[in-house]
Amino acid sequence: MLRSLSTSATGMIAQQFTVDVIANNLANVNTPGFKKSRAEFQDLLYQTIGATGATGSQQARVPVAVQLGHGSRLTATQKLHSQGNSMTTGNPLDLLVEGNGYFQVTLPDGQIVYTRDGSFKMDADGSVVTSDGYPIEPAVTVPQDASEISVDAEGRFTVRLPGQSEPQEIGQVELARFVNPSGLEAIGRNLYRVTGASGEPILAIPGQEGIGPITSGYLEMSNVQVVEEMIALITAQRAYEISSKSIQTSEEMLAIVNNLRR
Amino acid sequence: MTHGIYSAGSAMALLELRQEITANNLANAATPGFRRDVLAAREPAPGEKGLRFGPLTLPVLDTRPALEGAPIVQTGNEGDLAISGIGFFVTGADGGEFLTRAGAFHRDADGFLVNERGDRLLGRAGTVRVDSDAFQIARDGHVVVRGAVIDTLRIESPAPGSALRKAGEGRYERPAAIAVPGPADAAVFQGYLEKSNVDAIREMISLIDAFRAYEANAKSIQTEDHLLDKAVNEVGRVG
Repeated sequence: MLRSLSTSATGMIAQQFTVDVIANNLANVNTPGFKKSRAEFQDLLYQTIGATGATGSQQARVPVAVQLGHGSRLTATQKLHSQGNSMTTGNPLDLLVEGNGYFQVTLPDGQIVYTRDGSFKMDADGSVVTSDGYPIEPAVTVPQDASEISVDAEGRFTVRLPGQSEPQEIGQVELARFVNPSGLEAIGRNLYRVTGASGEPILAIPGQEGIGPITSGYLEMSNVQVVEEMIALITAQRAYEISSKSIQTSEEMLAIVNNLRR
Repeated sequence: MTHGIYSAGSAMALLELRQEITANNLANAATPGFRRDVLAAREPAPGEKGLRFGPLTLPVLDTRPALEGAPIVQTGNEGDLAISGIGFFVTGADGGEFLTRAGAFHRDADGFLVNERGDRLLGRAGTVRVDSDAFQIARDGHVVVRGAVIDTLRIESPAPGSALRKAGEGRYERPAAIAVPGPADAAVFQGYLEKSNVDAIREMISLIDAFRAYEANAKSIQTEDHLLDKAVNEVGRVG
């Protein structure tokens, strides 16, 4: 049977994955700290058939052969960790990292994971936590009677306590950076986990050793560009369509063969 | 007597091959750095052995990647590299060195620039390792980290007359004869990605063309069959 049936099918499957990836990007266009993904493709292995030629004795001929490709495949989805747009919120616990660096968050099982989503809140005990209630690492606890929380560029939390004229420091966040942030594993809820591909986290206080400073009162939004995604969507849809046309043609060719002998 | 059937049959076999190559081109219409395959057929030279199809000798067939450039799009991703002009990136893997136009590289955990297969990008000084998040790759292939040139990317193309074989997964076998294009012929763009050079219109026309030729050859087999039927069963029938 014609190889082109399965070849075209691989093309359609690859484009289907692209549409899935784009749909997830678009669904997260307003998610703070979300990083868009990109589907990456390669062509599949080639089969060399009917290697002929190069047998002529009188002149050296370039060897000829027909190389038949078997379509394309999705190799990876790559997270693109470019900076997202920033949004003013005025809330002192909304933190934005300008440049490299991930907030560290402790999961209930003690595991440290990483996030760019800086929309922190206080829980009932005064601990600074993510929207899901996971505490920031190193932990920061705001005293019950404190007022006027502020966070400076180096991640120092200061509060004003009753009876004290000077603001008091209650903790400082450390950020992590990675040699290969694309190698981080996205585990949902805007969190990332270290993998062998990302490299070990390099910790530093904000504004030092290649880590960006913190701005309080701002949120980093998603880095998804709607226009870019729409164009990718159109391209994927057309590429899908075109592979379906070549399936149709192959199918009609087989029908002709079947009707040769009546 | 059955020569005509074999002629038409061999044409159908070749057209199937053409359709398969077109299907692969179309399946890779969105694969970055892909080069479309072109099927060429010619008469066998004297002394050259061609493939046989019944009593016939088939034309000698050859596929070549068409090397014309593809559209280059801006991605803003620091690891995405595109070559404008001729030439290929050189990557190293366990299986030796390969040429590629697929320019989606990133830093791995050790700081090496690698593609999705994990093959390392090669410069003139060996594998390219950048220890800083901020690296620039200049048009002439210089790799710049903190203002200092640490390496120059190897940009190579096959020497004129030497064939380029695909190894799959975006790679080409590196031929023995290599030419190094000058800076005027090849410029590296960081933050850009080269798309596939498959032209949908050209491939669709090829698809229609091959299909109709296939149909015509099928008709010619049927006609030949019909004539044979007449000759065998009706000539000499009495009454």
